[in-house]
Amino acid sequence: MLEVSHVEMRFGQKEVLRGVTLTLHQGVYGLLGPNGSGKTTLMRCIAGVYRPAAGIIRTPERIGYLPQRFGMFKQLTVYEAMAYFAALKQIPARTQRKAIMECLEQVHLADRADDRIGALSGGMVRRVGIAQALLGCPELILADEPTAGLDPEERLRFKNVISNLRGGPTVVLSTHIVEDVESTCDHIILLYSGKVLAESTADDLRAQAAGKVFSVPADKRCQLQQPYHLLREEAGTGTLRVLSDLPQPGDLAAPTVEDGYMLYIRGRM
Amino acid sequence: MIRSIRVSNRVFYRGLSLPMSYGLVLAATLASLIRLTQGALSPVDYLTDSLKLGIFGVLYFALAGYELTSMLRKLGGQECLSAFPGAQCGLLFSHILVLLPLLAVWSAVIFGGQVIYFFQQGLDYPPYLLHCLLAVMLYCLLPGLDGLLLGALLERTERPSAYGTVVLAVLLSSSVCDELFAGSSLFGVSPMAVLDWFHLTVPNGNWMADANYGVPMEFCRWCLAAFWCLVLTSVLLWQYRRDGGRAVPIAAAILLAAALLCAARFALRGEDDLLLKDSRPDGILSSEYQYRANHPTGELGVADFSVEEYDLKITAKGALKVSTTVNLSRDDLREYRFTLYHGYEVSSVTDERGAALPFTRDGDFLDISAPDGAKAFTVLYSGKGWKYIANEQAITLPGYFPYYPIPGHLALWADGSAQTVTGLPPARFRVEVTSPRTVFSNLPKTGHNQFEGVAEAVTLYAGLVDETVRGRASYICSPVGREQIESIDLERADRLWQEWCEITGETRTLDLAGKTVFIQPDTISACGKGDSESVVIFDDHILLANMNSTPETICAYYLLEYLPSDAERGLLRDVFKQDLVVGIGNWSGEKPDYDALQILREYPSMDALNEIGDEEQWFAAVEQYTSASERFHALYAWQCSQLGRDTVLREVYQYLKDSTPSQDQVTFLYDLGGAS
Repeated sequence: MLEVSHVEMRFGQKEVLRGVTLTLHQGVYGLLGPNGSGKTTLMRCIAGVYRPAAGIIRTPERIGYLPQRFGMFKQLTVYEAMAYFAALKQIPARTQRKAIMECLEQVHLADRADDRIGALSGGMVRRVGIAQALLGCPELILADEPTAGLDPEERLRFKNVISNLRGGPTVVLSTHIVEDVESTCDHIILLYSGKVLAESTADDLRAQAAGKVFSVPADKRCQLQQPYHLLREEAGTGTLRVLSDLPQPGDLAAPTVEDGYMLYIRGRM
Repeated sequence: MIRSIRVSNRVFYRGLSLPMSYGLVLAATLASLIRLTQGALSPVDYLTDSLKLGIFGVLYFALAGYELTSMLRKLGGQECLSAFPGAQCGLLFSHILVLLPLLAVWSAVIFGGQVIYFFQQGLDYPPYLLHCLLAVMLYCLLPGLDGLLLGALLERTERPSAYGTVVLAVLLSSSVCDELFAGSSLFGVSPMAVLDWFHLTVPNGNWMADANYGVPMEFCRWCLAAFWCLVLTSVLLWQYRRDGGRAVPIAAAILLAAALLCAARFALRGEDDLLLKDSRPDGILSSEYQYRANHPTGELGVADFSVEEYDLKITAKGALKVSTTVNLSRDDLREYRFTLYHGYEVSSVTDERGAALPFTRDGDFLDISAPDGAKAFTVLYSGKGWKYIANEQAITLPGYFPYYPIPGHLALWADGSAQTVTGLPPARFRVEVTSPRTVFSNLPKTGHNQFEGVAEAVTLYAGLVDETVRGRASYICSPVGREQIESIDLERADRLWQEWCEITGETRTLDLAGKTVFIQPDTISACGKGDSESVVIFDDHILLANMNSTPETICAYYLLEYLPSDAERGLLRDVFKQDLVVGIGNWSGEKPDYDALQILREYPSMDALNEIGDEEQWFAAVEQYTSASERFHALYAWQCSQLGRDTVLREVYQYLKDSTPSQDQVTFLYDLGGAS
């Protein structure tokens, strides 16, 4: 279990986290928020990279952390890098090899174990980062933008890895890619301007947006009633996806998590 | 930690740039050492030149330290590690630990060069190897470590600022800044005083090491090197105080406290007798000249008493500290006048009952008042003696230098150079020296660094000094210098003196055979303008400052010592001396024209040409003077060929001895043997 209580963080005069309080149990949590909302700072505070200015963070003993930017010495092999992390995680030497290979299997890098990190692609290095976060059966996994730089296949594979962790550790995924959260997370935490805006689920977010999402033909753009929020222009169909409390000229669309997320964010903007 | 070291090792050795650059540094070091080997240097000069490589150690290990420790940050791996308490700190120090053996190997190569040169030169003086080892540690290993720590400290900065800082540190540590700021002053503060704090490599890149002193390695210099190591490690630890648990800030604080102690010791080095081989106000090259320029010698006078017995208790650590008890020939005087070098500060004077006596100090003079008379005094004093060094590393206290009170007001400085104090009545000396070195003296030894005997003066030498016995003579000299004691044949000098006395009519006697010969270190001869210290002869020992002394040079100096040294006869003196020492050669040509020598009558010495204000005229005069002095040499040779060398030597000597000559040197030499 992870407890975050009234955590505050400042960089100079700028308040980045403002009294963040969370209690996370087993399951996969998605930390959603726009750029600059404090997601990475919160993740770093939980991981112990930053010491918060105020508040208390209680974490389990074994943590796996994948930072936003992961890199390792290019001169090391994948296995050596993993062995180094295994040593840092105090995994006993006799079980190290098995644990490392299992994690590499999970990210499909077992056959590249003896390759130098310098010879891997950026996506593969990211997978090494994921593997090291999984190493040692952590009770809490923190992954900051875990799918950044992964190809679609690997993203899918990562989601499967996370799905397989259900019922095990507490997993916190920090991302701005709502789609990732929608497909993998049981719980969603909305962070905005250093504050927790809402703790919800994908279904709740969708429900919140129900009846407020419209699919408006592009040629009726001028008939839209203010206030409304243009989510996007649907390529190919020539329609606009609009979020609004007022009825709009078009059909109601099936709400997504992103619509619910935008509903919250728009209300704050 | 072991895992971190393994990682650091792999990162270093599997990379290309760091091992290759290290290989280049090693190769360049080896090449420099080999090149130096071919330079026919004395071992101590070879050591000094080798130590100049230390600056490259600072540069390379600072850059290597930076590159290795900043690598993970640049790759973006730092954040991941910071989630593990102590991991960043551990990895940083493992990087440093991986570079340390490389630093040690590089230093060992420089030391190895010394060992090879030691055997190549056939030296039989093992203490010198220890000196080399310590010198390499102080001027290569520790600066390299400082550079390494600096590089690690810059780990979080970007490359341009890190490299800029390293280059600045290297410049501050080298003697480049010394050259720039020598003799200058900023707001009344000498930049040298500030630069001293960065002098981690050889103190001065331009000057050769002193053979007796070796490379300066005074205690305060070790404190400086330790200060930088400790302070940089402390700051490094402090940077990771949150990463490594409570022990890290505690360790940082302890190291900082130790660093401050070292800094305090270095800051308080003012009283230490340091061999400062640069032109700063308290350095040996200029300090005495500046002092003498501002402090004219007072009224001179001989004493109406003598010292029958000296009891000297000398401590040579940092500064010289002396307790001298003198037993006097008379106890009925109210004032006793002594000469004691001005650099020694007298703290007390007591009589034989222990009662304090009033005294005054005026430059080199020490006047002690004794209202009821006194049979003995004890004088306590301490300080430093300019180029007459006495500290834990070496002692160079020649008997002609008043480092103990000598009766009378005597001149220690004249005509821009140090004067020797000789010709004193013999006294009984009991000398006890507290020094980590083995001390050598002209007096018979009575124990470890203890001497007793009757002599005119006491000479004390220690450092890279050893005794060599050849025939009846004993030579106290540095086995690692350039002195060629083989050329100093004292018995031949005695015979030569006899011959010269017969030729010139000189009546003084010279009995050198069997005396102890002290070969003066370079420091003595490098700082003196005059010849007064080149050959100093006492009743029981001789001090030779000339680096290539021969029986001819010794006898020539002794012969000319008491002659008037007026500039008007300087040229003839030089020609005469040249004839005595190396011979003037034969002249088969015509007698040089008297008119062609006119400029020598007008300007008897080269210095006199400085009266000419106009630059063009001055250049023309110098050319004319040079040509005329060559003709003057030719005239001397011509006279020798006409009158015989012995006749010329005798006549010239008598002329030079004459305190009121009736002729100028040109006319005298020209008319020698009859005007023509």
